Amino acid sequence: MSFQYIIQQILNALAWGSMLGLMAVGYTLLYGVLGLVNFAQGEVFMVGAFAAYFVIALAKGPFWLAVLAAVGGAVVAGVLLERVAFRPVRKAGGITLFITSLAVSIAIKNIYIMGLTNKIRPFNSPAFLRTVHHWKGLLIYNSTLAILAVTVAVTIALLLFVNRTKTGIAMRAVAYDRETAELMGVNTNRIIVVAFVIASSLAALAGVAWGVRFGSVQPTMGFTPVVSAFIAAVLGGIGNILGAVVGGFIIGVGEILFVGFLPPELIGLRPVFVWAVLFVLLLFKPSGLFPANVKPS
Amino acid sequence: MSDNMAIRLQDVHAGYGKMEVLFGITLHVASGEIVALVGPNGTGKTTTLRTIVGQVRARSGSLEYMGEDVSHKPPYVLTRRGIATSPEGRAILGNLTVLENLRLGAYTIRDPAQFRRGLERVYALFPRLQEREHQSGGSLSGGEQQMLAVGRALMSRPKLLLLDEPSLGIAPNLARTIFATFEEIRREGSSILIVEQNVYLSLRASDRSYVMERGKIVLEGESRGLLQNPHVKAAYLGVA
Amino acid sequence: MAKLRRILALAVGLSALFLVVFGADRLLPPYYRHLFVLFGINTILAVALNITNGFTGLFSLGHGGLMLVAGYVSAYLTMPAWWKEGHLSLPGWLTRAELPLLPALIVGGAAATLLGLLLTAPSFRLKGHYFMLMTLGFNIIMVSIGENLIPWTNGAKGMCPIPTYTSIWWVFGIAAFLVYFALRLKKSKLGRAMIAVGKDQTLAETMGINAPRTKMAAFAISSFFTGVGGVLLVHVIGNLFPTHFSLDLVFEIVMMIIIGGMGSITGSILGAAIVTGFVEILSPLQEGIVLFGFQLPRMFGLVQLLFAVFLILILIFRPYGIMGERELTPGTVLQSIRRVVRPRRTPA
Repeated sequence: MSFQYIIQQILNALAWGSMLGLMAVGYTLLYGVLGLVNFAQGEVFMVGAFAAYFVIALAKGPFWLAVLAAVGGAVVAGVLLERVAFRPVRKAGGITLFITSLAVSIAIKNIYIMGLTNKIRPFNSPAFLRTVHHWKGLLIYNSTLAILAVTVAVTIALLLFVNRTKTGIAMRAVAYDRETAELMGVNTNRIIVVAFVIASSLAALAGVAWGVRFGSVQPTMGFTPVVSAFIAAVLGGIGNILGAVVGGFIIGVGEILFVGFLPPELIGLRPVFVWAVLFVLLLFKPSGLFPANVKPS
Repeated sequence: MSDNMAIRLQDVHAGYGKMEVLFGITLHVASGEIVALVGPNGTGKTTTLRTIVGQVRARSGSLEYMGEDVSHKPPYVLTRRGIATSPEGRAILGNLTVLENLRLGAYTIRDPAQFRRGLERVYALFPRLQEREHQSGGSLSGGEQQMLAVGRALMSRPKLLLLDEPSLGIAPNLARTIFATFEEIRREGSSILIVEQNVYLSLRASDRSYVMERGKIVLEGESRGLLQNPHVKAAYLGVA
Repeated sequence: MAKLRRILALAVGLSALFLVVFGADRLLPPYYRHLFVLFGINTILAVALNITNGFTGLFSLGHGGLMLVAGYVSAYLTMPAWWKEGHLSLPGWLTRAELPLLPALIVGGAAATLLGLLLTAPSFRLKGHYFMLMTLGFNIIMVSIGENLIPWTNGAKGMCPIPTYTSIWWVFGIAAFLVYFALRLKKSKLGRAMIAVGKDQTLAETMGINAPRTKMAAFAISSFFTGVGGVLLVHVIGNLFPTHFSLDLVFEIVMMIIIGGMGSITGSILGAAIVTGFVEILSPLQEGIVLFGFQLPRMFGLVQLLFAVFLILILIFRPYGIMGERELTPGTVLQSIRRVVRPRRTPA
């Protein structure tokens, strides 16, 4: 295994790590603010990707419009889900919320399967995203750079939002102690909706990234990042945005390197890596690598 | 109903689930007054505050704020109308800094200049908070957290300030310091309702008081007068 | 007196069950008999799941993986040697083994329990969410291992034919035993400890209950019977494909205990019956049938969708399921009949 091979693998993994990071932030926000392990994030991710696909493939629209449609579609889906499925069961506790998210995920996935069938559809990204640079024998994809740039920008924006703006501070307060936040005049329902908007937008960006990177979309695509992204969120410390992004990269790069070292017939064992990380993590440091943002129980 | 009444409760019954805690509470705080609600542990004083603020639903009776019925409003609405609370146990947000906690207290303030003025006022009252501005709320001592809780409540320039057990778990001279700020707070336009176990301090610091026992008001009147009351002296001031 | 009543109730119940199973075995056409057997297996799976999810508040999502492990182990022990010789590379003694059902059940169940406990070990001293995540991961990697470790599992092509040892008697015998066992467990000291942990772990610990050990005990019992259910299943359908045990199956069993009421054993029986029935009734809809003269198109995914929506509605409107945490005993049945026949007039 040459050094160059490893570097190449890491470079390739940066896009995947970004996607996981974006999804992980969504998880960590929703868990922090609502106690919800939102299994349906994978489907919001898929909805966003398909919205972009429809703009590109059917409406033949420009790429920027596709991205906008992705975010718009995902946000609508997310906010709708919050209102219709999650808010009525909010008082019932984390486990009921999770089962609801599981049911929602299955419902949305099957709506798409019923309407569109589960076949793989090609996702055509614009030419500039498909170019490849050669540098010292390494292949550097423009798509990797773009996805990375977007992820970094979004992370910085989010960190500023959460630390500097009134709404961001309110959100951190709600994650720590909802009752006291409400006592300060914070409308917790509104904050929760904001969290869903953010989480859905991030999932949409990840969905577009997937389409650009892997060249196709499919109604069952939501399942692949779900578990890895959630473990990344746990790795990063619940409620910690930067932790979630870093966790996403650690898991993403780790997964790719793991698969790179496996013999070809065992590539399907990829989930074992992520599960092993979780096992070790829960054994030694369940609170994650970074400080968590929720009240220690 | 006169509208110089900051808060008026009349025959309020409230409780948690099947447990009744308040059995017909009638009290009021007029604008500009400092009123104390004292009594032994577990008698329903905190429940009274929580009912005022909307965290506990009043089962019967009337609850009026500034002359308007507020018995079914959620807490954040009441805060936006001018009620601020320093809750039981202080409820400091440990993951936020001192400054961020104060920022949160000023959540209902939109004008940045007003926010800065409020901040200066709080720092003037509690200089120690300014020293610890960027420290996390969870790392403060008990007394500092109490100052932060009161300061945080003041940030929104409330018309009615509710203080729940501000002296609990704090060194006596620090408690006296905090109680000494009440006059200043009243001068700046807030009425205060303070719930306390430390009867002596609260009677000294307030205009009028109510004594509560087992969910009912058993005594009320001018605080100076109550300080001389034989029942109060025997039950609560014996071990001054 | 109460003990005599209990023995009497048991005797009556068992005889009734015996008659029902005997009748089903002789009288039902093969399709319905098969369905009845599936209902029996689902009952075993649902009741087993209820012990972790319902009693102890441990939300397990790994039962598919447990069934898979038990299924493979049982297949190793029971499948014809020539097939194992030709498709897998197992140690000699295993390849030659061709055992009957009982040892396969026990060893399969034990293997599932051991592997389950081992692979979820770190999560028992943590909060419930972590256990959920660990079991989800467990299920996913078990399916992944099944699909990829071809010398051991024949991959996605699966193992076939598995001798069809399961009979209606095995299934309902084990189901009856499990129901009785679970009902007794609920009233026992261990069972009450489990329920205490499920309601409020911190409070339970202050009362002296060793929470991690209680949770592990619940998971062990549950895993064993889930494994047994898995063995029974593969020996009924005669094959083992790893993808069969993925999250869709997990979700199906979760539905059963939610519909029946998490924490109610008799509820799980009802839930198993309802879900098994509905799956069968609704499946043809997916294929595209003629309804009122309209030709409905093939809509793959419709059944899953209907189930998911149904579950969401239940969680919103009737989160405790049919039975909540109560059990259906002759007493409660009489009570509800009495309430219908003679409604109590409430005071004005």
